[in-house]
Amino acid sequence: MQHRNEKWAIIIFLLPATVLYFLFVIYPSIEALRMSFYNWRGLGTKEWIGFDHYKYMFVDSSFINAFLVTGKYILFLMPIVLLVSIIIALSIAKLIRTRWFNLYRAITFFPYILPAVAIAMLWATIFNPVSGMLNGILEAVGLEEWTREWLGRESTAFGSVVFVTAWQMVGFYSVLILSSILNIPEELLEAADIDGASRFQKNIYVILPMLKDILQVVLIFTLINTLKVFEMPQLMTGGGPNGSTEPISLYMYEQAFSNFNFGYASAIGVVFLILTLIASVLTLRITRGDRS
Amino acid sequence: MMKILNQIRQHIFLVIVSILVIIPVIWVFVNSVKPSSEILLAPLSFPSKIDFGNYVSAWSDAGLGVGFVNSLIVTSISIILIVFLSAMVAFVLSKKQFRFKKTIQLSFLLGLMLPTFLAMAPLFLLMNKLDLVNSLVGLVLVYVAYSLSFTIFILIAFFNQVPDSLEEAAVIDGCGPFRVFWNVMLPLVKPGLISAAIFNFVGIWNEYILALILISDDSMKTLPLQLANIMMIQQYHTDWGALYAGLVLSIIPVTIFFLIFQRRLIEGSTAGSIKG
Amino acid sequence: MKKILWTLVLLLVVVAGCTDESDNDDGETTVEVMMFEGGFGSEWVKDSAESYMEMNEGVTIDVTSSPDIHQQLQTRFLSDDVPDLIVPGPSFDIQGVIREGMIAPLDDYLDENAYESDQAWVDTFEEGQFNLKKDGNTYGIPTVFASGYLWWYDEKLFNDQGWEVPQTQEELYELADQAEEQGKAVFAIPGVHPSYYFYGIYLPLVERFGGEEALLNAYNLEEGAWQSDAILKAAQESQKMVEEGLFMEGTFGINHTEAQTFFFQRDALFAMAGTWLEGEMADVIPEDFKLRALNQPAVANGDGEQLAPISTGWGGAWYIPEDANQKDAAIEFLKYLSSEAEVEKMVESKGLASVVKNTDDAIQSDALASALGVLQESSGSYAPTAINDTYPELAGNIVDLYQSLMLGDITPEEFAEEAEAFAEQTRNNDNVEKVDISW
Repeated sequence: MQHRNEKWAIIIFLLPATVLYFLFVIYPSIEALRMSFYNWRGLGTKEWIGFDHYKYMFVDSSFINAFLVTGKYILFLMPIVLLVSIIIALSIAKLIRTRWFNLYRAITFFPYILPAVAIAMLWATIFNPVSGMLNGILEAVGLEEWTREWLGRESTAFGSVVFVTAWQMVGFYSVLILSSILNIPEELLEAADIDGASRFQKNIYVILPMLKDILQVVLIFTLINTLKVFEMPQLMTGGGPNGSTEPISLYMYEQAFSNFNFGYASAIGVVFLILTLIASVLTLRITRGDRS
Repeated sequence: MMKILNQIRQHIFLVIVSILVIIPVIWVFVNSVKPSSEILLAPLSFPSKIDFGNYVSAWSDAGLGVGFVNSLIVTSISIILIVFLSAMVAFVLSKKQFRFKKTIQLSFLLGLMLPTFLAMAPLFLLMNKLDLVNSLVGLVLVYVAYSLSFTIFILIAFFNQVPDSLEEAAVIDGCGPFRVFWNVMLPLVKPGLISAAIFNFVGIWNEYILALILISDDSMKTLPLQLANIMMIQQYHTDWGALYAGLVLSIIPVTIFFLIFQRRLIEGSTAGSIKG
Repeated sequence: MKKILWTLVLLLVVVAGCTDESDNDDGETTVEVMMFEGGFGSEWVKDSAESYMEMNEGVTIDVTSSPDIHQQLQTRFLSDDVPDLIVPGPSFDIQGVIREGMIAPLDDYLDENAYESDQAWVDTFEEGQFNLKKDGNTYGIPTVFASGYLWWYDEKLFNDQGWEVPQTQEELYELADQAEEQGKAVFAIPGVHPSYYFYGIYLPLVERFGGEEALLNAYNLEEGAWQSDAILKAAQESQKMVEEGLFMEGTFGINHTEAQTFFFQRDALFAMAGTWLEGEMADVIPEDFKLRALNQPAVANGDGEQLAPISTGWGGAWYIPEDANQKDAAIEFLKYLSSEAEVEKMVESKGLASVVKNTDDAIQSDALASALGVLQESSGSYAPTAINDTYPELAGNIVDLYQSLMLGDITPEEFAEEAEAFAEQTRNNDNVEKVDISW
């Protein structure tokens, strides 16, 4: 009796969440796979075309471009975010037990809680070549030759988008790493002091090795979040100039909701998933291999 | 002397970081009280007169007020549902043994890896079929579904910390599974529930992509959508002031929230990911 | 616990209530209008809707307007819950919807009498602008006259300085030197929206070099057409314009309202836009500004016919979905909206020109009159934006290429080569339906 009662209870506990989850998360994902074999614009008839969408990706220069741009985002963002977060975390950690500690920590963390839309628009106004703050400041301090159309030229647009994305991401990871540093047993650091280690040596040889686990987490998080970069390019550059800031995510969105190629967009989504999985596994492998 | 130099060295990097964070926000605020014409033609100057008219036009003409209310409704209902439903699942997955436990656990784990983008097109078509496009109910359901995985795994960690003996004692006292859950377990994992709520608040309040796909009707748009909308509209008009006022209006609520829950947010974020 | 649950239920009920669409079935007719709101605004429609409702009791005209109306329309078409009357705007795939048979052909209605008139409705429109046809059927009805991208200048400034409007590229370069002495640039262009200068500078240059044949061959994806002489020469000329410093500093990073503001501040001599320019920028136009339109200058040794650009206007016209609930009521309102009296009101109050006959006299804006003048004085017209109506993805890709050319990231030769490659990609893609473009 008790047993059956318990069984029902388990079902009731699981049911609502599971239904929602399977309906809105799992089913559309499977449906994406199915739709990727059809040519369908959302209106009219669906046409089975087999692997045509996947084949088309190899000749679709815009897709290839978006693919490479996504790779470029990863290549730049992962090291930048990692490095800056570590430096910030180490700097703040040194100030523990001072009144500055909480202040700096809060300020660094702050961008993380802002809406990505607001961040994108905020920086778009700063980068504006005629009414923006950046060119204004450069002119005011006599660096006129440095002023440019930051988001309007291929040479600077990508860097600007990377900068803003890092601006948004860094706070969270700094705090993550910081808390790991604070968890390092004091004795270890004291021992290093007694051995006469310089601050730099202490950072490299004592603290960093202790942070391996958390740095691995940071790397994977950054990777997955970089693959998902969307708001910044969409709102700051629209993916331009000439596609130089357009990641796969944005290209897929445009295929689905500007060109209404739902089938093709789904195929891109499937490729996107495979990429995410490969990237995650690779990162795990590399960081693991490092350890042994 | 040495000490001061040392102090400067310790602070200089962090001061630069802080300036990079704070100055943009101040710039937006100053521009938000400037008349539109000055924004384009005299960008760095201080406003000739302080004018809150931009706020009025952002709030009512540009629809930020509507977006604010919609976001409030969607976020609060979503959070309650997410926390409640996730706690139920996390409790069972942490404390009970049953046949498909592994399968269910794995399928929720899968949700952590599935990028939202994968299912963009089919999700839209599904919602359209269910008549849930341009509906706040639809948006809530999708938000809940997409937040479950993350929240469940945070909460499992908290449930795992509750000793089994407590549950056993309650059962011996004659508590059924629902009473155990409600009266014994939930109070014990309260810190976890609060952390989960705070995190989902930030995520959902700021969410843009799902809303962008599922909501196109102006009266249903959430705050981030309305904000992005201002940028669209601004391209067809010359009301630059409203853009900046809109930015300030969207930054203020999260900032207040941040000031109140700062500790929990910062410490919770680290706790969750390290345990997870 | 109970309290929370109850609040929850209550909230859900409230939310559900929000999304419920209440239908009135007590003999009331509601015509749902969804329109794109761009530089022309939407007040002229809303004003007419007001007066129409006053005259016709029991009829409600519900006008929704937005710059991103295409997203809402897509959703509505997908769910078979279409509005009754639409202006889809430039981003909606209206031709695709027509292909699917989801837009009603209007020929039968056009043969009916016009609003309170004995004249056939179709005869009340200027014929030249009335060509939104597919397979012999008319689907769209334009009411606002839209030119293609013209160049605009300030007649006062030119008079004050004793400058002449340039007739040729050579004169344009001479003018540039004179402007530089005054600290002015020749163009303020919206660098981040390259379609403005693609349709406003590049395609006119192609026409000047190779005539409309060069354009039509390229638009119809003929092999090698995007690498023709005219295409290449126009690209080289564009590059030269950049090198000669014709464009305002910073202009490649701003949007169109910003660029146009500089033009109206007289920091630049020319802006390029359609006839919506005056309405869009009304807030910032100085009182003594004499806004006038001109056709793009000629080139030396060109084979072109100096045609004037018109807009094909697919995005700006009125359509009635095949499955609309209130087709007849929508037609009636559209007839009212396009009646001489209403259009004259629109022309007067909003400074818009129209394709409805006998409303020219109501034009009070000299700027608009000058735009019409450009059309009347030229030997004929062509529709640069036709490629965007038919192959939006291809057009977008080539527009992006042109941006790279203007930014100096690629050479004219590379531009032509890559444009041809994009054209080939479209030509070989069986999933894109091919259309024979002409005007």
